[in-house]
Amino acid sequence: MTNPTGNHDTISIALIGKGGGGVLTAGEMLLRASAYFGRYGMMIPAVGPQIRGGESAALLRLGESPVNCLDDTFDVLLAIDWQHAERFRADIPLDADSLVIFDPAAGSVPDFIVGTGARMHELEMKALGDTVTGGRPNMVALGFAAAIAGIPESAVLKATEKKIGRKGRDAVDASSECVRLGYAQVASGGAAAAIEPAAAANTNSDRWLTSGNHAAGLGALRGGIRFAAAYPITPATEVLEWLAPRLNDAGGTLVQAEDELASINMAIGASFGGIPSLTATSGPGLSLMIEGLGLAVSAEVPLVVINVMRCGPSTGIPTKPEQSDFNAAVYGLHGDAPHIVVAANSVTDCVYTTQWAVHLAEAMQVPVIVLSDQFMGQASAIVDPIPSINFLSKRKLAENIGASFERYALTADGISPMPLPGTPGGQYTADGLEHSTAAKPSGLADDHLAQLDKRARKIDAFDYGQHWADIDGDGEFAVLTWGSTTSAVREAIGRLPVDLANKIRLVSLRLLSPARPLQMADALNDVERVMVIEQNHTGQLYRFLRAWYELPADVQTMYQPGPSLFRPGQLASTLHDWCLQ
Amino acid sequence: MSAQTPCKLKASDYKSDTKPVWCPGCGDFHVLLSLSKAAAEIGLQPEKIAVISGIGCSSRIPAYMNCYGFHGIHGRALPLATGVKVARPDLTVICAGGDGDGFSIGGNHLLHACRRNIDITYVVMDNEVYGMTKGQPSPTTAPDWDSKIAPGGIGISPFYPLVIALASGANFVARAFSGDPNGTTQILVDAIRHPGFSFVQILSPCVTFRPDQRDWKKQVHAAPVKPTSDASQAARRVMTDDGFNIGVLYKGSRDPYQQHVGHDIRFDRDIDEEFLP
Amino acid sequence: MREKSESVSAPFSMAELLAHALTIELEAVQSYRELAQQMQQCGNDEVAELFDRMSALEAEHAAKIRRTAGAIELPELAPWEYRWPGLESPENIDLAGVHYLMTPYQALQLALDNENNAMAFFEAAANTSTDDRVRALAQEFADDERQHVAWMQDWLSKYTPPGDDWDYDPDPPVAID
Repeated sequence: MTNPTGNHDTISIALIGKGGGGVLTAGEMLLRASAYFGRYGMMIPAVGPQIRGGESAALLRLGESPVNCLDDTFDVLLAIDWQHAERFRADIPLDADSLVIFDPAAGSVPDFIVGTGARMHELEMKALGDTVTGGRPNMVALGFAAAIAGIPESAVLKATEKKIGRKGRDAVDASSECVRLGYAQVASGGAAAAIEPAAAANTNSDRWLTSGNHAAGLGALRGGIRFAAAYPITPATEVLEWLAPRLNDAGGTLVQAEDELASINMAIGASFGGIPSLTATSGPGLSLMIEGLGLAVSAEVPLVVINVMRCGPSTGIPTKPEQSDFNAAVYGLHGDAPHIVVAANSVTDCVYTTQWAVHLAEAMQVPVIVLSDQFMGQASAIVDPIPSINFLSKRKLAENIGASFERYALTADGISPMPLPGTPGGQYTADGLEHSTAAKPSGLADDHLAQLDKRARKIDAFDYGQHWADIDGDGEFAVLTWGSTTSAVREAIGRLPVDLANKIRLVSLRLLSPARPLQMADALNDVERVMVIEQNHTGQLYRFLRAWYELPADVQTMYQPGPSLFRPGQLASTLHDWCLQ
Repeated sequence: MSAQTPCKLKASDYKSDTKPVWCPGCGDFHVLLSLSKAAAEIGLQPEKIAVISGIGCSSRIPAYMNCYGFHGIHGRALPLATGVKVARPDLTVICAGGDGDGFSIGGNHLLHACRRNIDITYVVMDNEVYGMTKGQPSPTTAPDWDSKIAPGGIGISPFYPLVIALASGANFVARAFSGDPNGTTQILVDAIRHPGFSFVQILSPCVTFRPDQRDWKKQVHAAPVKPTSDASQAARRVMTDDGFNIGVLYKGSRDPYQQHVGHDIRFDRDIDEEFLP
Repeated sequence: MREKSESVSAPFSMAELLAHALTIELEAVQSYRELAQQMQQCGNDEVAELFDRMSALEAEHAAKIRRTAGAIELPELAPWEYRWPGLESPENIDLAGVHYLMTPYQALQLALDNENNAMAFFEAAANTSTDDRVRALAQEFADDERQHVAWMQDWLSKYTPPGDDWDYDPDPPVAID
C-alpha cells in the first residue's frame, strides 16, 4: 500500500472487538492467508485485562518484504464492536488517511476515533453473519479486511479450512460463506475505493509462520538442548509449551517445576549430568533465578536461560514488551560473576541467537541469558524459511582421566575439561563455594583470584566471530541498539533521504555481555557521533556502553519505556534531525 | 571370600581424602559411615553415585565421598538432584542435607519431590537446629528451645517430616538414628534399592549446639511394627509417632517418575515442516 | 534398628567367630584413624597421637586374627547381620563421648570401655560355645582383649582426670558457610 507519509509498501490492519468475538482468530487467519498468498507480515495480539470476554485486538502489518515492526499508523481499523476500545488507543494510532470500518448495530463510533479524522465506512457484520447458519461477524470482517488488503479469496478460504477444519464441515462452510459475504461487500463498492489494492504478490508460498517464542524453541532444539525445566510465566510460557512434546520426540524431556527456584536448579543438575539444558522465564522469574545463575557461574556448569522481557519492575505489565531487564541480566548476580548475555533482534533471529547461546554455554561451561521480549515472543510472523546452521564446538569433556586430573585446572583458554558423572577417576564435587583447581573448597586469596581470572578469561578470550553484532552500513553516524528495537530503527533509516541514510551505520548488538572493546572499536571506526536507542526508562544499554566502551564525544540517546513501541516514523524524524545537526 | 582376599567394595572405598569440617562428635560422621557401608553393601561403583546437597553442616557431605557430587545452593538440593536423575537415570542419586536446608528454605521442594516420586534417596540429617549459623531454631526444633534469635523459644509448632513426606506421596518413608550406623545402613540400603522417592530422616545429634541430644541414644527405640505398604495405615501410625521410632514406616508401590533423557536422541520427523503456514 | 535378638547368644561357628573378631578390629582401625584425623584438624595433637596409636594397635590385632584365620572361608555379612550384643561392634566409639577438647584421659577411658566391651563379647562367645576349638579361640581372643584392658589401664594411670573446665574454649564456634 502506498502511504503518503513514506514509500513503504505495507498495509496495517487492526481488528478489534469484545472477547468471544474471535478477533484474534480472524487476525491469525488473515495473516495465514497472506502467507499463502506469498506476502510477509506480522500480527501482534493485544488484550484487555479480562481473562474471558475481555476486549482484544489483532494488529497486523502485511507487505511485500519482511515485516518486523509495526507502522506509525494503521491504514484500516475494523471494529466488530467498540467494547473498551479506548484501551487500544495507543496501540492503534489513526490519522486522516485511515479507514475505520464499523458495524452500525454495535453502537456509535467513540469520540477519540472520530477525532482522528479517519474516514468511516459502515459494514453490517452482525446482520450479514446472521444470514448464514452458524455464521459469525468476525468471519465477515475477515473477508472484508482480506479483500481490502488485496488477498485473493482462495487464500482466505484455505486459511479458513486450516483453522476451522477441526470443528467439522459445517463450521468450515459457515465461516467460508461469511468470508465470501465480506469479500462481496468490498466488491460492491465504497470501501474498495478508499484503499488502493496492493499489487499482486508473487505466489511463492515458501514461507514460515512462527512466533519468536516458538522460534527460540527451535533454536534450542537445533542447538542440542535435550532437557528443559519449566515454570510458566507470561510471556514466556509458549517457549516451554512448544518444547515439551518436541523434546520428548528428540529423546529429551521437559519437567514442570514447582517454581523458578526449582527450574533453574533442575536445569543446572541436568547439565552437570552432561545434558545441554535450559529454562525460559520473564523478569520476575529471572530475579528468582539469579542465585542459581551464580551457582552455574561458580561451578562452571553450562546453562541457557531465555528471558522474554515484559514491562517491569516487579509484576509490571505482563502482556507488554520492554527492554528493561538488561541490568538484571548483566549485573544481577552477586559477586564478580562473569556470564554471557545475548539478545535476539527479530523473530527469525530468535532461532539463531538461541542456538548460538547453547553453543556458547556448552563451549565455555557458563550460563548464557538470552534476552527476547513480549513483542517478538508473542508476535506471529511470516518469515523466510530459517535454515539450520552448524555451530561446531561443544562441551570439552574429560574422558581418560589420570591421577593428576583437576576439574578446575587453569588452562590457556580458561575452559577446563569436565568429567561427566559415571566417568571413573573423575569424581569431584561441583560447588558454589570458591575452590582450588582440584575442586576443593578454598578460602585462600590465590585460589579465589585464580578462579576469578579463569572464569573471566574464558568468556573474554572466546572468539565470538561476527555474531556479536549486526552492522548495516559504514556511515559516520552510528546508531547503537539491541533487541526488537532494531527493526524499527532499520525501517526508520530506510525512510530517510538516501544521502542521510548513507550517513548512518546501524549496530545492533547481539552479544551484550561481556563487552567487546576491540570489536566495538572496529565497528565504530571513523564514527563521529553515536545515538543509543532502546526501550526502557533509564537507558540501560547506554549506561553499560559508557562503563565499558570508548565512545566518541558526541553521544545522544533516545529511550522510552514500554508499553509503547518505537514507531519508524517517530524514529525517522529523530534520526533525520540528528543527521542534520 | 577369605580373610586374605578382599573382593568386594568396602566402606572406605567411598571416602574421599577431604577432611570433614564437622565438630568431632557430630552425628554426621556416622551418617557418612552408614552411607558408605550402604553403597558397599549394594556394590555401587563410586563413580556411578551422585551425592547432591544444599547448604549447612550436613550439606558438606558430598566432598567427603569419593563419588560425583554437587554442593548446591541453600534449599535447592532436591531440584538439583531431580535434574541430575532425569538427565542421567543410570546414576544412583543421593540427595542430602539438614533440617534447615530441607524443611525450611527447601520445604516447598520437598513437597513436590515427594509428589514427583523421582527415583532418588533423600537423607535429611536432623539435629533440630541450624548448626552452621551457630544455633537458631529449625523447623523441627521444639517450640520452647531457647536461643539468641528467639529467646524463650520460637513458640510455633514444629514440622513433622515423616507426616509431610507421607502425605506428599513419598514412596518410602523411614527414620534412622546416626548412633546406630549398622541399623542406618540397613535402612539406607532398603531406601536406595526401593524405587521412587525414598525419604530417610536421620536423627543426627549436634554435639556443639544441642549437647542435650546426647540423651537421644536412650530415647530412640525400634519401631514396634514392621513397615506397611498401606499409606492410610502408615498415616495412622505416624500420628502417634513419638519422634523416636526408628525403622521404615512405609514402603509404597507407586511407579517412580518415568520421564528421562534417553540415550537414543533422534528425530523421526522433520520439525521444519511444522513451521509451514 | 535391630532389637537384641535371641541369636546373639547362640553359639558361633569358627568362621563366624573369626568374621566377628576381624570386623571388630577393622572397624576399630578405621574409627580410631578418623578420630585421630578429627583431633588433628582441631589441633588436639596429644589426643590425635593417642588415637593413632590405638589405630595401629588394632591394626596389629587385625593382622594377628587374619593369620589365625588362614584360608578359612569367612561369611560375608551385611553390616546389620552381625550378632553384636548392642547395636554396633563392641569397639564402636560412642560419638557422644567425643569432644574436640577431650583430654587424653577421656580418650583412654573411651578406649578402655571398648576393650572391656570386646573382652566381654569374647567371654560370652566362649561361654556359649559348644565347640571346643571355637571356645578355645574365643577365650584366646578374650585374653588378648584382657591384655589390652591392662594396657589401657596402665596408660590411663599416667594421666589425671580432667577438671571441671576441661571443655572451656575462649573461642566460640565459627560459621564457615
